Amino acid sequence: MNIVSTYTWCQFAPAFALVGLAALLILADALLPKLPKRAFAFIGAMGCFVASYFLYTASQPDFLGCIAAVATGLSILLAFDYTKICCESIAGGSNEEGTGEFYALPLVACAGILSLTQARDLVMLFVSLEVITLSSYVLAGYFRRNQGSIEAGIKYLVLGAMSTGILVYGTAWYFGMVGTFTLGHEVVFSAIKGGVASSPTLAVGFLVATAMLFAGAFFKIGAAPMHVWIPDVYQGAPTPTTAFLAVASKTAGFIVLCALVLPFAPFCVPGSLIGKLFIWCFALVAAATLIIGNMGAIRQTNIKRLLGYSSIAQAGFIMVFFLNVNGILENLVGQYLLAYALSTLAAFYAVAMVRTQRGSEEIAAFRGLGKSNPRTAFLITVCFASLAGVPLTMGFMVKMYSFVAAITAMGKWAGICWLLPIMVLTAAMGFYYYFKVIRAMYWEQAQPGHKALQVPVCTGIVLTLCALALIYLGTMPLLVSLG
Amino acid sequence: MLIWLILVPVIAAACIGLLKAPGRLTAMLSAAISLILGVLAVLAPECCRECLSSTCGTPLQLTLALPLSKIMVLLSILVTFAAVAGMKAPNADAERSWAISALLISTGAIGAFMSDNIIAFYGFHELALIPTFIMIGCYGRGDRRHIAWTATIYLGLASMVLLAGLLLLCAEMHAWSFTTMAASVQAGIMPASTCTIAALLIVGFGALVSLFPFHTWAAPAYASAPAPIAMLHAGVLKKFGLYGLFTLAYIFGDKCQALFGCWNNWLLIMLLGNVLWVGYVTISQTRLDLMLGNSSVMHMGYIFLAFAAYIASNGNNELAIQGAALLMLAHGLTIALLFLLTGQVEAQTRTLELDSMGGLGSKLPALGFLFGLAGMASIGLPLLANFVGEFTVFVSCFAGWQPAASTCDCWLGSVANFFGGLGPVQLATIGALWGLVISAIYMLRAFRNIFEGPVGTASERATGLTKLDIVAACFLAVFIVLFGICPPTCLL
Repeated sequence: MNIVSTYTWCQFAPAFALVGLAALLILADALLPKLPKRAFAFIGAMGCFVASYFLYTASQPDFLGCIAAVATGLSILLAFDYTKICCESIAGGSNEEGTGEFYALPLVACAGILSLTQARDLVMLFVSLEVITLSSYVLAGYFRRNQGSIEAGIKYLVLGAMSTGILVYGTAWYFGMVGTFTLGHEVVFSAIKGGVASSPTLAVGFLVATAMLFAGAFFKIGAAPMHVWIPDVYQGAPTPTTAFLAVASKTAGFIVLCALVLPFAPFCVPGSLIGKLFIWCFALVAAATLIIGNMGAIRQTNIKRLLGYSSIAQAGFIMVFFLNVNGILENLVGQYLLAYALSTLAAFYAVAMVRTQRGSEEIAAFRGLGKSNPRTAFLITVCFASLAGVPLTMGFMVKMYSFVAAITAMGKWAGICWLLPIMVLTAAMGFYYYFKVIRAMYWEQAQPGHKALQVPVCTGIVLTLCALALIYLGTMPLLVSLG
Repeated sequence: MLIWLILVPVIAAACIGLLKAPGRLTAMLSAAISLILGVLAVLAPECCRECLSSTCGTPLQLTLALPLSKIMVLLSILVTFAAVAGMKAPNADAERSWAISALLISTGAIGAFMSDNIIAFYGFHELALIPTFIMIGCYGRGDRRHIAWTATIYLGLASMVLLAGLLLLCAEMHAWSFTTMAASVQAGIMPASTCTIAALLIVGFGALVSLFPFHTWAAPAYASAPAPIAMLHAGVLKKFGLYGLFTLAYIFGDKCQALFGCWNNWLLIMLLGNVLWVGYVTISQTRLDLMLGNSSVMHMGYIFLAFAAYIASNGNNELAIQGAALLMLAHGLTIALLFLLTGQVEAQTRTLELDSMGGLGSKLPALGFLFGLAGMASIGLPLLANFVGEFTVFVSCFAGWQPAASTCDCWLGSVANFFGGLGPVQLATIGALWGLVISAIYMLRAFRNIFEGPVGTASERATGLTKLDIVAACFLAVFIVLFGICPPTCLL
């Protein structure tokens, strides 16, 4: 049997380059133990940024891959300021031994995401996804002296393995039903042409396969009911890893979901039974995700756990885009992810800074920042305001696109009109819990013994850039495209 | 040029925030520039205004062509100037924060009133809300955190409901600015789900204006907020909701009943709640700040009455929209002056409990006179600005009405028929007129308690007003009298 590859090597050049860089870093870690680990973080982050630059300037720009690469770079760079905690939690004290891989593994995961964007069949999809997931298991449990991190690692491993199982099982069903691994209109068309009535076994089997594949993707993006791992893992994992999981890994999930959903585009028209099934499934999942994410976040006092629930909630808003399967789906998802990535990464930088200097990840540790560090507090305010969807930030623009998507879908399927009130209510809940952080910074007195924060250079730059980008991207569309 | 009305306060706020420029002085300078620019822009003849707004070529689509824009911009610049001039902050840091917030709120309000783009219109208002919350939370009186938190959640939810309504309307009309929406209406396009959109808009805008029963956030927030913030929010920013409703109703013209009509009777009940229920609540208040906060909520009922009359007449009632505009202007000036004077009373007596004051008029006659003037205006005494607005609104409710069989059904219909066949709007007007008596009761009683009678313990502490205090208050008082004698109908 001849195996003909449908891929070319150069498609994967950025991914290979990143894996090569990771291998070099691991070798250097073994051969040059004297080299300070911050250099590793710096080189790794630069590698990601260069890769994202090439992706952006390529003849067919890969927007989602670009976001993932930048996010990976920023989460490695986050470790740059976080070395003190890394050393304490890995080797104990200020010993840097054994921390090298912590900066190299995200590169491997990023390579997985970049190859994922090229995947056009389920095998490539699965392999790339596993590259990401396996690296993430290690990273989540990397702080071996920290109980939370170990707990996070185990929970992520067990639940992740389950989701992988579902994904493989779905792949097997898919192959069994249509005889190919390829994802495309024609495969879907041949499987469900004429609907359940004409070829019941094939159609039902194909739907079972699709449902399981979707479930696998839902796990990555944290959509209900596959969201249960998120709060514990986000809270326990090392902050740079949490940032990676929250942004880069979520982007990977959406790349998978887009790849799985787009072949269904011709069926998502009113009057089609499959379309109706599909839309109701996504509307229900989006509503459940919105409700669980937002309701869960309300009671949180730990900022990382809050951001975990917030990432579920934001995934719910992105899910709404999938109610209109068309050519601009990836673009809209990408824009939302960009807004989410900028604000969430900046938030994690702030969390890491507060954790390093005040020793706590509770929201209470942010108290009094408005007085002691007014500029930093303002930048953090912009990021959380963007997450909440305050106008003139990018978070508002993308949340508005999400509302418009829901309204457009309601125009086609009147049955899902209940989604809009749920979106309105949950968006208002967002104001409550994101403003908890802003409230702590401005309205509360600092806790005794908490002095003004020393803002590390890297954190300062990233916070400023993210906040400026959020405001710029939030006001520009108003001035240009809508105006 | 219109863009400078937005840029000047933002630049001034940036100077205060980043360069540590003196708060009150910089803000006053900026407010004075805005005042000159605004008056020029508002009074400029039609041909000049065209080039004023178009040559600057900003894609923000600022305009003064909408029916209520000019009068609202005028209100904003007047109140902003008085608010920053009369600011009495406890220390230099607070003064800077107050000045920045006041300028930002003013920017947001002016931006919203001048925006043609509906998303920008919404966005500017949200921008103005944030400093309000922060200022109440940081510098408010009483249980400030709780009050600020309640207001944040209430208005956050209201904004989301409003956003859903606006987006639904825009998506179904395929128009994203007031101008293009007017064109769509002309072309005969109507939204499909009118009842849903109208409900979202009335609840969203209504909660922002403190329409009964969504009003509970308002009085405590105004009572707690620092004086300049209360002045700007109660006087200017709150009018955003009414401005939005009236502008949309105006744009829909003779189709406005098709859009809002299905909720008009509910709206009448809610506005009677504002006038009567909140009116009685106001009578029972024992603190000056809470009383004024409630009174401001109560007076919104009259403007909603004008809106209901406009809808009931299906857009033929020009008088209603003019009365509403004049009343919004007058109420904005009056409530701003009252909050400004409240701040001065508190600074003098260090209390706002009505029972512990008394006889302040003999110690500070100027304050007594100004407060009396503002109080009389608020009641609706002729020759003062509010009278013109209220009178026009009440007259407009009967405009075009003919004695005939009532359109009301059930027992209300028989009552209405007994009086010669009154419609729902006319019945509501008769109920709302009782509000004038209620206003007179609480306002005159407050005036008696504070300024008349033997000198109370708290009034003993009064020392005297500074020149700037009197200038800031007189500035507003002059316009209240001026607009009472000569209403600015040329701006409508």
